[in-house]
Amino acid sequence: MNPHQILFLTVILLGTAGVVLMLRPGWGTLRVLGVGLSAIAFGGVLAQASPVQLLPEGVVFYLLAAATVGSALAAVSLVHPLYCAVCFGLSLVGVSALMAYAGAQFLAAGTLIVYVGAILVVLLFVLMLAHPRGRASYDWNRWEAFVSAATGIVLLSMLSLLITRTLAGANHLAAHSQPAAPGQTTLQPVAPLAKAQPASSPWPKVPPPKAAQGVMAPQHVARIGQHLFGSHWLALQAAGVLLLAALVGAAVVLARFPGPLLRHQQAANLVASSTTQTPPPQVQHNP
Amino acid sequence: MTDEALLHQYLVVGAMLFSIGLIGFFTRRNMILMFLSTEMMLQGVSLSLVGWSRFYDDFGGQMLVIFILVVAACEAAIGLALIVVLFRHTGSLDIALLQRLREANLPPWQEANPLPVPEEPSPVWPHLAPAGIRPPESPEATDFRETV
Repeated sequence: MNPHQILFLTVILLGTAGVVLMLRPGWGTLRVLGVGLSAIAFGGVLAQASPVQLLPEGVVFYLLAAATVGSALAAVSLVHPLYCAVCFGLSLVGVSALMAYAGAQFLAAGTLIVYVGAILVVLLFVLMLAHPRGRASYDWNRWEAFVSAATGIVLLSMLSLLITRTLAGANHLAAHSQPAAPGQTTLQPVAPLAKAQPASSPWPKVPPPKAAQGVMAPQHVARIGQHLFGSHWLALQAAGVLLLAALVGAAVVLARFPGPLLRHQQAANLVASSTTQTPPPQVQHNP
Repeated sequence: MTDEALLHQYLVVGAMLFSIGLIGFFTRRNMILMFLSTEMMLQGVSLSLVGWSRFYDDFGGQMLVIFILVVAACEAAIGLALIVVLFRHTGSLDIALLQRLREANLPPWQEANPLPVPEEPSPVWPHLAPAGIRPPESPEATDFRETV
């Protein structure tokens, strides 16, 4: 076994055990142990993918990634749904910061506005509207914790292994892969990435502006509107129509299916309004 | 940080978010939290696309993320409407109550050994401390009381 396989086997074992222990409700010693094991496993996956210098800007990235992944794990494993939603919001803020770190400022702002500003608020609203007081048994008792955790961690290991193989290209594989036995098939090494030209579009291409300084630079974030309304205008129209259809659809779904609880309530209101009201009891005055 | 290392990091973090969302979707029974987990998976995919967009210096990835945002907003509207309708039907957010959606030849799912749900502690109300100054009793009131 080469070091990569040993690493990923360790990640799978530790991560599965850690996530299973984290999915237990309550703050026992076992759950704290689960948090530690998951931190080791996820940190191992993150560390094997980083042949980069740590200082100075790598620290910022690692802090952001740790905050994002940690609050995502908390959002999945905490018991109380409101805490889960708040941790999900924290994870969204981390994702938005990571997008800004990669130079997608518009998407960072859009993620904050759309997810944290709209979707998360609606989620919290429905949660507070529908959630019973106190602890619910369906938050306390989970589905199959072991199978879920094993599925997720194995998927994560396979994805990161695939990403590493794809990005490392043929040289890395030649150095690390073992010679295959006769009759045994191995994965063929993947060609290294090359900076490709963007595919040609059938729509008329907008020529880049002459001055490549500041806002007019071809990679400035201001170019995003040019792309959005230039080569993607049809998709933009479709997105607008989709939003309108979703709006109408949500209203129609809520209006046409009142549900038995609400129907009982309406019937009770009808009965209460049709019966004659009894006179209020007379108050006795003490002399 | 070189470009390829940054791409590698973004892809790994995106894969982590996707896997965590998958775990949450499989293991949670609260419908809203299952919905939240799918949103987390979408976030992971968006992060990977932003990484690719940065690597290729191309806006195509960011365009895809914008349309993912649009679809996520539509999904949130319709999904939450459906969750509210289901909540009106069953009176609970538990997905296990929708047993009629299972296959016809499967037995109904039953909880093997449910964990005991701890009781919420009863709230401790504050004690009102006596405040103010007790007025001095007049000698008439002490001498001639209406009731003993």
